[in-house]
Amino acid sequence: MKIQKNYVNIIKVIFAVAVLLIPFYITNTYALKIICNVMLYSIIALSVNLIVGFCGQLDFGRAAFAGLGAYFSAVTFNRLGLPFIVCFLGGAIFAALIGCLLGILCRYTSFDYLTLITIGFSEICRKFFINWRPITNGAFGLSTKRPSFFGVTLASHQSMFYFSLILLILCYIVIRRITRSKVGRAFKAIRDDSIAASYAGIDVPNYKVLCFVIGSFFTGLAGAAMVHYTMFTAPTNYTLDESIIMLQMAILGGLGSLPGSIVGAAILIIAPEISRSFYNYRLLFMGIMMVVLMLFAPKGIMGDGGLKDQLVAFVKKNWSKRARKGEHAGV
Amino acid sequence: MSEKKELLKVSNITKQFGGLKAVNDVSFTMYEGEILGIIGPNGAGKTTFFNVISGFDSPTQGKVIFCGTDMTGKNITQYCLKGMARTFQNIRVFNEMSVLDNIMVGMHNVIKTNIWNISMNTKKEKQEEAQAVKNAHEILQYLGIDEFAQESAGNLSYGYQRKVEIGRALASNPKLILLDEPSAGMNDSETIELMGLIRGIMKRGVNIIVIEHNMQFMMNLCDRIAVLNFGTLLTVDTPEKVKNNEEVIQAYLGREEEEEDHAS
Amino acid sequence: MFFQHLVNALSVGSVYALLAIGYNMVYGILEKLNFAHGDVYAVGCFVTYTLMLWQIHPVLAILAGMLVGFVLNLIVERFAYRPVRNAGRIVPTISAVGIAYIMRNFIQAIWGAETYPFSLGFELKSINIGGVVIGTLQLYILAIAIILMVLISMALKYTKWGQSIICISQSIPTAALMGIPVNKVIAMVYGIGAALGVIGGILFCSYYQFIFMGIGFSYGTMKAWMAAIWGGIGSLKGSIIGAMVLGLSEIFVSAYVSSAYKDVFVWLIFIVFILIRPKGMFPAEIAEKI
Repeated sequence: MKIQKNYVNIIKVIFAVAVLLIPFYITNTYALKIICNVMLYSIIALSVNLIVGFCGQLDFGRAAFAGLGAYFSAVTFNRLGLPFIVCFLGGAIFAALIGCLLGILCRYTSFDYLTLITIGFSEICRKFFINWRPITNGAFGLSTKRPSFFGVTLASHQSMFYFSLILLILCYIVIRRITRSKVGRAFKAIRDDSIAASYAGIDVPNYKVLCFVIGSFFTGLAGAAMVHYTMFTAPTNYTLDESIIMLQMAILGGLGSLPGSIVGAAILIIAPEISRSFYNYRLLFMGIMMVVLMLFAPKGIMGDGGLKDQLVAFVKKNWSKRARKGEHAGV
Repeated sequence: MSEKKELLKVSNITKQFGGLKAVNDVSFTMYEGEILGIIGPNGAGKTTFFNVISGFDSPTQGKVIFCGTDMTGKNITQYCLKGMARTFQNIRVFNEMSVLDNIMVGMHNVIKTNIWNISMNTKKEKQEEAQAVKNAHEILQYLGIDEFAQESAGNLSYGYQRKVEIGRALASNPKLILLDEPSAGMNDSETIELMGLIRGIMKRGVNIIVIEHNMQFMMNLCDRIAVLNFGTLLTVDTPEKVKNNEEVIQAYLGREEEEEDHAS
Repeated sequence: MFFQHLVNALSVGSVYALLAIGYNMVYGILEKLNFAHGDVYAVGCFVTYTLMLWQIHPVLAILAGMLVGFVLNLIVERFAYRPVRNAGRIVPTISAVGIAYIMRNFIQAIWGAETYPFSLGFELKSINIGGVVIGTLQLYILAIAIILMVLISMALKYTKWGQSIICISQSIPTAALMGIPVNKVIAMVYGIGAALGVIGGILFCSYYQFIFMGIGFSYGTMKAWMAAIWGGIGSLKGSIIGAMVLGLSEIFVSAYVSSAYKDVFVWLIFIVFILIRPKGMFPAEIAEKI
């Protein structure tokens, strides 16, 4: 047992070192760009997972919150000349405030209405991105600059890699702590049975609001990081389709599993880059993937009883069978 | 008998759904240190009454006073904060959470922490969480289901899920637990075990109101029994007196006897 | 000008009403978010469009389109909805979203992403009453919506199938115990919902005189869903009136408030409304059980 644990730890350390050194052996900027994207989208997938997977609130408007964070950060950075970190965190806090508003609107509504209101909310935000030209530059999109800390600009892809990595690790740790705390248990209780949750003393409406605030904060943070990484954004990045792709990352990875969200984001970001035809039909593939997943593995890849667990169980079963067969053969 | 302390006082409660008065002008007082039973034929308004005195429904008329505070119109959370917990007729455990987590959800208001402590994983948070886990295991041991602590609650059998529900209610350190048909679907030996469990809970200083159909169970367990019929309260009295109450026999026990006569 | 806006609003509303009736069939009875409703019937509309290009009589083409929608939704129900019917709220919803994407991309693969002109072929006249222009097509659409509503209400009330549909809407397990072939009836509801959707979709296309792959979702599912909620989930009368309200708010906001922010205001009005009256204008009484 103990030896096995040591092996696992060694593998973990090797993996961590491998990730840390990625910019040294992957020098191709295109590949680095994809990896950065994966990490930033992972943060969004984590926040979707918090809202949908842990709290059970089906949210179709995540992209709008990424947009709110992105536009707020980019506009304040371009216009007011504030330090980057202020604009960046400001974007996340702005998204969290709007998330709070959405949460307050939705705290008493039923499942269906929440879904509908999130769609409406994201449409409203998108219309503002398109139509509020003096601020957002409308459909032409908005350019901005790379992040800078104390006068040092993160111009290279390598530095952006470390920036995204640190951001992802911080967000992951905080979200993991939240899900394992009293608050996370309250979210899960609301997901499983909101009436029983309220009888356990959980203030269900306020916890729903809290969930939207926390989730929107991280979505906004990732959105702001993305806009400073790509140095450009436009309203087309924040459509309903985008929201559903974000949702699908969390679902594919496994609702309720945090590592799963990263896996899901990685698959859905990398796959379209591998083949052009996949890119053209990515929504079709996503649709098929959604239906197939829901039918055969609603818990995604890494969730409880998801594909990974099914695979492990399958291998174990066949392994023991083969071992037994081997014994028989030996006898 | 020293002076008994009022725990729950219900005065002139009426709950109306459309034209139907599910609960009609019910008043009684419950004192600390007693097990109160509520019986009544199907559709007598027992569960509606529970919903009203636990804040799920607000009464159309009347007042609920719990621990000396007027709780009328307050929501469920406020009732819980005052020290009320309940179980449900159709079991409601958190299916996809572990049994341990189910119990710890019950401790929601016992654990005092905030989002900052959680995100920073401060020493205080760690200590509190460890203490909560310890307490939860104690409750599970008390209920005899500690071996399932890491199991998903939804995978447990019916009887164990009942215990998880009771454990969740206990975990909030309540003054009063409302049990809605706790022995439904249990066999005789399980019912006897349950009776022992409820008495044990009483000894921990928790008061209990219980709804049941099982007459024998109620007669043995309860200190006083309230009888509801078509939403009205017939009587609140000791089991012996209830047994001999004319009205009650006519409304409820009598009919059962008739049925038994038919059967024989 | 006001009356012209009013007439326009009511005609847009009657188009939405047709869409909402089909949507409300499934949504009201099964309480399942049918995200794929619009995209499924859009396939039927495109089939009709193609048949009409081949010089087939519009009525036959519409019937064929309805048949396609009907069969398609039966298949979808069988393979994507039935297996997950009891799997909570999120799973069936995501499955339906998946179907919506499959259908939309299917249309894109076959017919492409272009916008095509669409016309039912007969001449569109209009009546002029004191300067207010009313299109005859608009009157037809309204008439068809009302006739369909009456027919469906009667069918629900007086036929055995209708009664079993109502039973299922109350409780699926009880309906099954009463010997109602639950799976068949639910499949039928989906099929009929899609067939009605095709009628609505085609009249929508002929009203706006175009057809493209997006008609299913943003103009179909979303509008029908909003109209159904305005009116009250499961109420056919409500879905017509809800659709009228939706039409009114769209036309009057863009005429008198702001056309750029039309959607913003329509959504805001809608969100405020459902926060105040979550059960719509004609609510169905359902008590929450503990």
